[in-house]
Amino acid sequence: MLKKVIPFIINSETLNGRPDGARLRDEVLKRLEGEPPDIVLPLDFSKVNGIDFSFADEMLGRIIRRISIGEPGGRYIILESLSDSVRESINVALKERELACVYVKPNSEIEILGKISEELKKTYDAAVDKGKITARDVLELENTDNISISAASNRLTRLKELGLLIKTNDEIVNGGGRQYVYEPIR
Amino acid sequence: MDESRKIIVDDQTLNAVTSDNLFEKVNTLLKENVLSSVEINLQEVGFVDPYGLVSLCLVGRHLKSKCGELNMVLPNNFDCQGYLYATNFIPLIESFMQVKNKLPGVEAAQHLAENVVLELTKIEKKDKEPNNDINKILGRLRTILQSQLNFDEQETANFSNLISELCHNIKDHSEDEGFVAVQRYQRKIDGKRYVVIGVGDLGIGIKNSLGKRYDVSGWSHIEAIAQALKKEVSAIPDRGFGLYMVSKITQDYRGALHIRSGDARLYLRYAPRGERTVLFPGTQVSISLSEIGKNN
Repeated sequence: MLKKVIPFIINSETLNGRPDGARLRDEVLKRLEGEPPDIVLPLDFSKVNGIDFSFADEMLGRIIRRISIGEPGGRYIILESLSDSVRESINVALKERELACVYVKPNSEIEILGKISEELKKTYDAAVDKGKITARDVLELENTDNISISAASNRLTRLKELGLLIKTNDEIVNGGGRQYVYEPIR
Repeated sequence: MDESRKIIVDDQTLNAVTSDNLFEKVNTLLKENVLSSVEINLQEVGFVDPYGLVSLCLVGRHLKSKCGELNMVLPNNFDCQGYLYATNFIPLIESFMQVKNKLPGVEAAQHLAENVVLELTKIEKKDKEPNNDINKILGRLRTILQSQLNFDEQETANFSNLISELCHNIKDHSEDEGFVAVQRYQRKIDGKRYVVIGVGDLGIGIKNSLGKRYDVSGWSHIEAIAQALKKEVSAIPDRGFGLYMVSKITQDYRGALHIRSGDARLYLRYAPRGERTVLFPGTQVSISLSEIGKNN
């Protein structure tokens, strides 16, 4: 199970451009590398009034891409305390790069920023509700014969690639065989 | 033979289109003799928009590097001259040229400052100032947009992004310093409000910038500008966000984008239109937005 660690607080009111983005990206990656595996690091933007797209692209876009290829392995990020304008800039920047990230709002409600299809969003939400999810859960969720077990697995794989789910273990299913279990990043 | 020369600006309005007439006169002048002094005469000018302000600064810098003494004769129009004071234009240019024809009482005409969203501001070269000048601009802008213009959060974010991306393009790509100014207007005919942004530099231009990464030998300047507006086209790999997002936001707010670089300008409103124009150093951008701050 993922453990949420002490947030990384971003201590600037206005952040813009790629130099700011690169600097903070390196600080966050350094912090991630210093943590043990199986953690979620909240990035706290409560002190930030405004950012621009280039900053968001350079900082968050690159961190998310690194995490999606397993660097550093077992360490993930979520976003916290975004003002409306910061949220907007991040959402636009991630959408343009076809990336996604979890934003945990002050009321604990979860929003996915960036680009995610309706099916994937529905699957992720189900994972959050249940605490974990398997391909068979996806089939039940769809409640239709139009999706195969293979397609359901692909959905989970895609969410893992987006950095929204992690594969935790596998379990034996009725009738033999094994299936992978995924946990949501949150 | 040393010569003193005058550039008389006979356009009553200085904006993205008429500034090219000024650039042409500058080019003609510079083909001639070694110049001991140059005078830029603005007496007939009645209106200067942010792009015109930036263009005048750039013309001043361009001429200063090539002549001994540079003078500017200010407009006879009181409101226009007052606007030049209110937007910080005159204090800024006085650092490198003599200013003449100051009208009595014009510096105290505070009412002319009420529509200034961002006064004329210099963007320093990257090696001189990596980021703080833009941070200060964005901090000031945010306060004005929300407290005085009643922009909502989304509008503030989008507008600030426009300014930030344009200013960063100067730092990251032009190899020069530049200027930015923003003004708010209201049309007399229908009361519609709109905002105009002017940004410019005397740097290497878009085609030369992209030439660091792409083979631009077969590109015209129009093609270079059009390419620069595409996502992920940039002199630096894994970038290409800036002008693409500028273009996208402008279209989202049904605005008009004008980019001049090399010997070309590209005008983007609904559909792009490119045309050849006079050759002048650097890149200059004008954006007009009428659908932003609708609730103010």
